[in-house]
Amino acid sequence: MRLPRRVPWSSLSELDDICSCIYADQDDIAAKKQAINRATWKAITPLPHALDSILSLLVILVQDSEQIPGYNLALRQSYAIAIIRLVNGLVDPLQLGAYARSIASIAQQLNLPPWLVELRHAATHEELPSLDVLREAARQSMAWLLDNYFMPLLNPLPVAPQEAPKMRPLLPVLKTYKQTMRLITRDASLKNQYKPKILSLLKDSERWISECRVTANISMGELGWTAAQRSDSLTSDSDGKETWALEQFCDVLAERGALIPLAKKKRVTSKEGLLPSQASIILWEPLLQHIHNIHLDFPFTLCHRFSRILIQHLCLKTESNTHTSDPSYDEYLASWIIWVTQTWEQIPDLRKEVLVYLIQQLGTEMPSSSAGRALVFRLLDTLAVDVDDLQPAINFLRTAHSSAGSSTKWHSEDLNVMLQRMDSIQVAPELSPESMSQETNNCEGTVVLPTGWSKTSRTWAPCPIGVHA
Amino acid sequence: MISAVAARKAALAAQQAASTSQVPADRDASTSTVEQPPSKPPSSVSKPPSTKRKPSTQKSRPEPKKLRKSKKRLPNDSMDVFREQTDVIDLGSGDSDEDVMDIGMSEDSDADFDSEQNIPSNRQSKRAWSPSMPLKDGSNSDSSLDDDDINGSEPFAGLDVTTLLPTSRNTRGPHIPQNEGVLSASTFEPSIDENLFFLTEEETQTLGYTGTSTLVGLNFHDTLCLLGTCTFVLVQGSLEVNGVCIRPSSQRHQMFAPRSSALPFFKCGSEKLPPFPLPASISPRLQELFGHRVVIMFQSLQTGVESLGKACRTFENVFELPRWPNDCGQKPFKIPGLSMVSKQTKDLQPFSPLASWSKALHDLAPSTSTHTGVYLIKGPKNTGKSTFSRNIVNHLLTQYRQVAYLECDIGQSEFTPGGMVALNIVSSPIFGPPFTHPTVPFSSHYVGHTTPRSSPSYYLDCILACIQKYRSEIQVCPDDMDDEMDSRISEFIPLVVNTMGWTKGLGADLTQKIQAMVEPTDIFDIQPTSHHATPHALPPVIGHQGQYTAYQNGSLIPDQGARTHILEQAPPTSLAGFTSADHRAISMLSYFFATFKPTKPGFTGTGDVGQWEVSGWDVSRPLCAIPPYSIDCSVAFDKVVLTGAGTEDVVASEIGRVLNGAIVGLVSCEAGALDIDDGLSDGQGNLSSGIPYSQQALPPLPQASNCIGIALVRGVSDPIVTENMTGTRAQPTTNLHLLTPLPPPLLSQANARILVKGELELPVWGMLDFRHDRDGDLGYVAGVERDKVPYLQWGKGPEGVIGGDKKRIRRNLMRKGQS
Repeated sequence: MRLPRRVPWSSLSELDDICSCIYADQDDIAAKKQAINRATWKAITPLPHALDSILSLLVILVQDSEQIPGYNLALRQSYAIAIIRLVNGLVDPLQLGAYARSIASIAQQLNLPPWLVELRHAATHEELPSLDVLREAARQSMAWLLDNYFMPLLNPLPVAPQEAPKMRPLLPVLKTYKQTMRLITRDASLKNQYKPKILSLLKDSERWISECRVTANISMGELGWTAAQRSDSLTSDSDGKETWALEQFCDVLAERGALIPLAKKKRVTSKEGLLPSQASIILWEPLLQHIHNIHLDFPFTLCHRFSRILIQHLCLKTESNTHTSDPSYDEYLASWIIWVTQTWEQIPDLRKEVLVYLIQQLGTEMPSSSAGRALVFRLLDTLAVDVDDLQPAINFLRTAHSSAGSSTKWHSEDLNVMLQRMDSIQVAPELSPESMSQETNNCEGTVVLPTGWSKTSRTWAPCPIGVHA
Repeated sequence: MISAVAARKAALAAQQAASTSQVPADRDASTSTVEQPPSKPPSSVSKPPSTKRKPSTQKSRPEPKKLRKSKKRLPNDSMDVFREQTDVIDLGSGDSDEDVMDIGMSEDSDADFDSEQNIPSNRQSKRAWSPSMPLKDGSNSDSSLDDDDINGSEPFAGLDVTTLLPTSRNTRGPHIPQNEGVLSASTFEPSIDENLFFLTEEETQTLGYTGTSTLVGLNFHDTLCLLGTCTFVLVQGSLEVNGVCIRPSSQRHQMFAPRSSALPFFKCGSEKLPPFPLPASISPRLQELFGHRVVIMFQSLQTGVESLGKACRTFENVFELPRWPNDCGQKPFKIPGLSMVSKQTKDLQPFSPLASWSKALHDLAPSTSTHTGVYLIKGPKNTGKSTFSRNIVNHLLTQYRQVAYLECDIGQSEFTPGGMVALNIVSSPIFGPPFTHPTVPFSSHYVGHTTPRSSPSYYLDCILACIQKYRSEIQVCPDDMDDEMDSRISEFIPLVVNTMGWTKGLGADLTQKIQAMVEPTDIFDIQPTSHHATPHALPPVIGHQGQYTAYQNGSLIPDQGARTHILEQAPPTSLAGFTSADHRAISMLSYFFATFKPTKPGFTGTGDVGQWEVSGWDVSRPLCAIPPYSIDCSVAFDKVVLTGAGTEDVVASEIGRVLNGAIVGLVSCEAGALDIDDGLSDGQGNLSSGIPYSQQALPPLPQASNCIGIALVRGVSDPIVTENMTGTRAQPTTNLHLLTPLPPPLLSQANARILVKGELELPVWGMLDFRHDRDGDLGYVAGVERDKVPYLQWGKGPEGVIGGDKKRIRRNLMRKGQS
């Protein structure tokens, strides 16, 4: 999530009002004045550059149209400065290099009329242009701003063209990879022969992730807290997108025919515990290692994603029949989670993080089938070896679940308990304003507030800043 | 969440880097079928790719391609040149929006004003690496691929998977400098019952304190670098904290050491002091401890400051050790929330004392009881002014019971959120960054901006008012505190003046004027190291007698005997990721979540040399869920003032809109000093809305007013018209919902009847609701969906909108032929 931006309007409809005030009727000076007054938004938070420019142009246009006698020089200066600042403000954000680009070239990129750029130069360095030219420039600028600021903002194009381009399917790549690997593992003498192919397949998977990362921009809109863009995070500003791309990759891995063999009889977990079969490991480890080498976070993403898929499967199964019960699939998925945590056990907190995630998820939703529950607890127990501080949480899950299973019915006492809790919760906020200065108040008893000040009533409810409830 | 991800990545990267030499060996050992080829020495990792044996052509083909690709990507990844430059002016709030790219990130950001700092050369190293862009790609694998077919007959168990990896993990991690982690921070080696003792409550009581505690003994060469929060008492010996010597006393010092600033650094002071008189009842096992040169008692400090990270996630977990590297610190003290940093890393920077700083403190005239010093600190931004100011306060507190502190840096103030000129009375040493000690100052004036650029003369007036206040009420302390135990001077209170970092152009003139007003006895001029900065502050044009110097009125008084100490600048801290905007945001939020207590028991308000200081933070609810005060605007306030360029044009009918969501200063004014009529008669807003606003009204004179603190107008009602009993319409009014952390006794006593609104804004973090951040989604605010939350815009906005962003200004743009 990127942080939102503070804007002076409560909703776009307010901006729409301003737009129609300005542009609806060229000669309606009163409406324009109203728009100027409303643009005191500037005192709330800095305006977007376009709006700021519109304000300066509007002020001078109104002044000019009122034909108050005065010096023309003042008018010319006002027009000139409005246009200089308009052009500069539009061009400056695109000065991205170390060296300055020519303003004309940037203007071309923005589709800004070139003669405005000339005018800017003339007004800055040469003779102040004539009133006639300046008036025309102001008119054109206003029209340009309508087309390039208000219109796209208020009537955004339908979202359709922005939809994520369809990713090319990854599963075939993975399948080819699997087949090739199988060939190698069966006949080691083929190894040299197929090495280039394996390499290119690995590269292809990697390329897929990169492509996915690019589409992430569009698919998820703006991602990444500004905090994530701090240069101290080693990943610079790619965090969110990369994770997203990896998640997509993991989803494909979890499909049948990839990490999970298609044939149910091949989904045999190894004897030593809940682990994928040796054959699967041999096939897939190079790929997983490869991805991990490039994306340090891959094990985390893989475990998270697989845990999520697992829990979704187990919890939704009974309700929707889209996933017919496939216990061996779930079991195999769980075994991969364990394999990942064991293979990369040197990664600090990997196991713990997976555990915490699982426990949190299971806390809200427990698999309905007993087999499913057995599986998740087997998974938890395997993961939780030596993680003592999470043992109580797992035990709690176990007991909470077994007890909840016995008494799923509601009793009237339950309602009473809930009411009591609600009361206590509602009372709590009332106490806090006093608690701010408890020490000083205790001696005086009640708090004396200045005239005109009072506490908000008990009915006051939290609401966003800027809303008067 | 994100910071966790970052930490994790760092951890992984580090591990891989750290284990580079051993990983290949381990792996080969486990899969014994593959022999280590002689051509691949185990140390091949550290060699640059060019020294590698040339791989066979067929296999190497993909490699150059990839390399080329990554080269191409580089400019893309570091596209945002705004980010690179050291200062961008965000023409506006200067607050924590994403637009603010001011990278200068020391404690002391100052006005966004001085410019043209070159991009520090180390910037590149930070940006160069990206996870998706392996720098030394594959060169290692080539050699392994050539050699791996020695032994391939066992189909399953024998297959060495590593040989198939085009990228060997060993080649990664160029971003981690070799020497990182080598720099040790603490040399203290905790050894229980030798130099580290855990005291029970009874044992602590024999030393005169309550609760359990941990005693630490330091010897001459021991250093201790701490992270977290604690209180400490210096029991024995002279201790140097961040270069300032403190002496034993019974005072409990509060210490806040987040990772966002340089960490406190303890070592033995050079002064020889008599040992602590051991009480007879002391447990015999502690005898040995008191053979140490310095004995410190640590106790836990629970203030809730850590939870500020919830409200401003940039500061999440800043009081905790980072996850990586595992061995960067430990927690030997058994004190919750306190860690010892054992080595210096990118995220953990101990304070490094500077020789010229210590010397300057040493050179201060010894305190006498007939004279107090006035100490002015100046220098460009990011050179350590605030840090030095704290040091000098701590130093002076070893000689005086109280020290006055005048903050002229309204961008990032030490004791208040930005935007105020404040005069504080400090009575206990400061160990922590500004957001850990907000106060309600003794006297302050609300400028409302983070720089004085739009109202320089008002800014100067505010400073003058504070100086006058200091001279008349503080300098010579009215009440003589009789405390036999405390030998420090109580009759006089010295003054420390911190100035802003805007040292060029108008800023230089203003600082010069401040200097003339303050009449310092000592000036500490922090000079930037030559290669780092800019041709800073051209010498002032003295020959003209200030003729063309702004705001001097031609009467520049030459410094009368002020001693000038030239200081070197603090090493630029590499605590990347905390920008001055972040620091501003956290200090504002810290203020709003703080609870205040009087510095002296029984102190209630004015008339006494005392003030309010923070006692803790309550971050149980976001700002949007804290019940506000409900205020009848026409009754509670006499005047509403807007300051700042352009606010003169705000018409009365719009004032409610402008106040909504605004940060305002609550200002009290001496009776009669306020021209109230001017607010009531011609303000049409007053008639229609009950808000006593009139256009172009000026803020109250600083000499006759005082800003008691700031508040957030979290809601403004529509004008309310009530009907009287007689049926005639009463004066309309407007109801404001106001949030302020100021204690009610202060509110009722100070009688702040003026609201001043400047450019200062609530950081966006403050508008969000951290209770709903499951899965990292902060979109919901108090139950309202993200797109329906007013005054916030998520995402970039629709395609094709030009000029939809605030102005961004670059000052480091070069012309061709310039370098």
